[in-house]
Amino acid sequence: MVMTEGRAGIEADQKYEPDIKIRITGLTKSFRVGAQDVVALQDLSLNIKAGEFIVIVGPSGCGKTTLLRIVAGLDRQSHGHVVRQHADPKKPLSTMIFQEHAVFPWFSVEKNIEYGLRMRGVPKRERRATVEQFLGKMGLRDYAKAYPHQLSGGMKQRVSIARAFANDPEILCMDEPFAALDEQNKAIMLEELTRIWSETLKTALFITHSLDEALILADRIVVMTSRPGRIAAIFDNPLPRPRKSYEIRRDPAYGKLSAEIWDILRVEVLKSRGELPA
Amino acid sequence: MTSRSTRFLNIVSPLGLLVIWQLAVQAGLVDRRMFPPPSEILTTLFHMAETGELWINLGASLWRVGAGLAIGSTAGVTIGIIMGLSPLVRALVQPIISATYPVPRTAIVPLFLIIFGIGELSKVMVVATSVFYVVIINTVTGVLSIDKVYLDVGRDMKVSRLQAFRTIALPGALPTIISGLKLGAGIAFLVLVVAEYTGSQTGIGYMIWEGWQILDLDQMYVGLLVIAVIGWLVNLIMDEVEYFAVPWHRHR
Ligand SMILES: Nc1ncnc2c1ncn2[C@@H]1O[C@H](COP(=O)(O)OP(=O)(O)OP(=O)(O)O)[C@@H](O)[C@H]1O
Ligand SMILES: [Mg+2]
Repeated sequence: MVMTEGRAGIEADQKYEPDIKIRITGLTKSFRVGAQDVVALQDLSLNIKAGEFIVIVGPSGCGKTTLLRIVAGLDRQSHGHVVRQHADPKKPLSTMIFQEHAVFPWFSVEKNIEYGLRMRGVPKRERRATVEQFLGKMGLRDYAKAYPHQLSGGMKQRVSIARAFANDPEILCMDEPFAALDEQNKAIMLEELTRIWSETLKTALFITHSLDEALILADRIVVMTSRPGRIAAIFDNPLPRPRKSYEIRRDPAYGKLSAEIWDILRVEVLKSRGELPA
Repeated sequence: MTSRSTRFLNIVSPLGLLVIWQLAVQAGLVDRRMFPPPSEILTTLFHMAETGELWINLGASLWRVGAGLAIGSTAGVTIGIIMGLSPLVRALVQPIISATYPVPRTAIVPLFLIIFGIGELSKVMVVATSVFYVVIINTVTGVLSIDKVYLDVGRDMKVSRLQAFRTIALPGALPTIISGLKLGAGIAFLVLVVAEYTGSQTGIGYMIWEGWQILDLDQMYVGLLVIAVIGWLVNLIMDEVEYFAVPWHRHR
């Protein structure tokens, strides 16, 4: 097993727990904005088990994207560390779905979807099969040769989701991936994501503002405080799998958990808007 | 307006101008010694085509423009992308470019005659230098304007530097690079004609200059007409190049 560590390294007193996929310890991140330091994350710690589905909710600007980017290795933390375990070096460790979609305008839909595979030298025949599969799953079969400017916002988002899924990483980092989708496509994609996650034993980090999405997807739901982002609460999701969106809404546990999360989230959102003292 | 009617107007409007000119001369409204009618210019044109004089001059000019464009744009794109990707190289090279850019391209002709002699090389290098400036400036701008999130996707997918160059920096900057090439092609003809006025015995610029010197205005106008037509053709060709090289940026 390969350990990928953050800049600060592994602390000596950490005890070894084999099923921890991502270990986040004392993570702090500040940005220099002009002459000021903006603290986006403060002393955040979280252990994520292999195969776990974590959903992160929190007020806008609380540091969710920042956290995901550091976990993905795209940004460096100011303090603390992130240790990720890479089980199969032949597979990518993590892949990100960006909040801005970031679909390459200069590649067709199929070239976008196969990008990760092509870059790491997966043979063409194998790529074709994967692209076909995801064009179908994402409802984009007629658009294989289209360029992103010919697609709607929701379609572009599906391309960016397909590009990440096709890359088949051990850790999927998803930053509000369904935000631009219509309700119907979202329902389909929620099921697809759940299926891919459970079949391929991925570890998932998923940011959303929708408690519905959170309750359908999550093993655990992490609620973050207003900036500087810390963990306000962590909820275990007791809803049994497989979960169908119309069925779990009738489960009494659904309403109860929703209300509990919302109680905490509401306070943090008000604080982030300056309507309550921090 | 549809693209077909736009194209139609693009052809009709210069032709219309020629017709008005012809009629104005025939009606005695303008001095035909200064403005010989288009029919007369065309006759001269056909004559020069027959004697081969036209083709020799045209060939000489096209060769110089072609060589200058090739050298100037290759250097401009390559150095431009490196500058765009490397803040260090940018910090070193940018001041030199900014300081020399305001010098009018045609003002370097005498200097280049001294450096490269009065042969072909001086003309090609004048063209290459002019093209180089617009292309490098556009290329740097193009690379710098690529949204950072695309480079993040590359990093997230663990791409190599060469892959990032090929799949992100180059295609990302290509629309701007091609605008630079279009500008460069226009400027190439502009400076070439001036370069051919002096120290040259061939070329369309020489034809125009000689026509003026020996007061053969028909020949001068033939030169001007040929330059206009070529400029127009080059524009059309560059539009086609853009259409096929940048399929994700099609305006028509
Ligand atoms: N590159 C940066 N430079 C300066 N400040 C930044 C930068 N990136 C993020 N920030 C700041 O860090 C804080 C957290 O930003 P982040 O993008 O992580 O929020 P978020 O929780 O993802 O919000 P949203 O739900 O709106 O996407 C914000 O105050 C933001 O202004
Ligand atoms: Mg965000």
